[in-house]
Amino acid sequence: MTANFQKGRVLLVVVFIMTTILGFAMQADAATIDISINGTIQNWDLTPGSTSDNSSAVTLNVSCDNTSWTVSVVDNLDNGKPAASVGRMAEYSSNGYVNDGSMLGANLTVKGLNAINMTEHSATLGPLPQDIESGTGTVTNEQVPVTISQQVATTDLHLINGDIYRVVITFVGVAP
Amino acid sequence: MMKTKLLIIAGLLAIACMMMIAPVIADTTGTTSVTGNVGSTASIQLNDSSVVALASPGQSAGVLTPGTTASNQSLGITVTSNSPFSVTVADNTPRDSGDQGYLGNYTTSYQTSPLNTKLTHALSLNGGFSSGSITGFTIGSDLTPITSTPLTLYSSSGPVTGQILAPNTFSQQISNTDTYLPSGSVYKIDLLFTIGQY
Repeated sequence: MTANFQKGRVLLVVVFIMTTILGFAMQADAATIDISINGTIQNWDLTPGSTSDNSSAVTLNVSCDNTSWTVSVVDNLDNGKPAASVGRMAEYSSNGYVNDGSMLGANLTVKGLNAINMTEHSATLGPLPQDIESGTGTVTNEQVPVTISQQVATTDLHLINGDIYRVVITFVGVAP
Repeated sequence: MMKTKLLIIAGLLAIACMMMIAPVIADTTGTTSVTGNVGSTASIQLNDSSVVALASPGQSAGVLTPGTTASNQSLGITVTSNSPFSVTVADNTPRDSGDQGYLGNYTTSYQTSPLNTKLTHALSLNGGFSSGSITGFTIGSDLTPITSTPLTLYSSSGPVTGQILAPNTFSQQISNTDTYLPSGSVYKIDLLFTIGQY
């Protein structure tokens, strides 16, 4: 057995041990969060000159083994939604979002719910994630009703010809 | 040499196992969609009462001179609508259909006796505002008087907010055979303006 061979064997052993330690260290420190969203709001009848609220259609299910976590919302402009409409409901036809179509004047707001180990926050939907819920303790399969609100002005247009207003809300769970 | 290979394999296996059991990075997402429509809303406001005093040229308000055409442009209409709309006008008087659209004999109510009379010619109204998505029309004639069936004075292919529709010109041709009413009676018609949405 040569000296080089011995050095190589030692080096491999060291790498093996360090990899193992690092792996277990990562496992011990990192947290997991799992969220799922159930429900949609369809055919929402928005009344001009008022704020419409819906707190029964959409539910957030969250599990996290860390005491600190957040769930935020963001408008990712899914399905080709016009950039100018970010955070707002935009005109949508059977062919998709309408170029230069109408959009509501106010952004959607989204809010979670106060509960044990959880604090609600009101978020204005926009291009950057805004918190709607933050955790102060671990949670397992917590069902959180999500309140979605839309302010409607009397100048917001009533769409005709079968078009509707639409937006997709993306929820993001983070546990540092 | 064999031991070295085994160590290498063991090391790779260890790394693979670590990757498999290593925790998922704490960041998950979900989506929901929201769809709906804004309810329709519209309003209409008139700056005048329901009766406009017509006047023949050179005459004071309310004076109708036989052989002339009296007119008035004082009516302004303010409309708001969050979708395409129309403004319609109908005769809102409780008279027979043959009398509707014509100014009739009125004291404290429309008279049917002893003198049930009306002007010879029907009242005409011109919607004089046409701009952008809004088009005005002339309604009321001897052939097609304004009756209880609404006639379209304005139509719009788009929404408006606080839009003033003016001028609106009432025209009334007065015949030499039109009856001079006794004191206390006037010629009158009540019109109902309505905004509707498509």
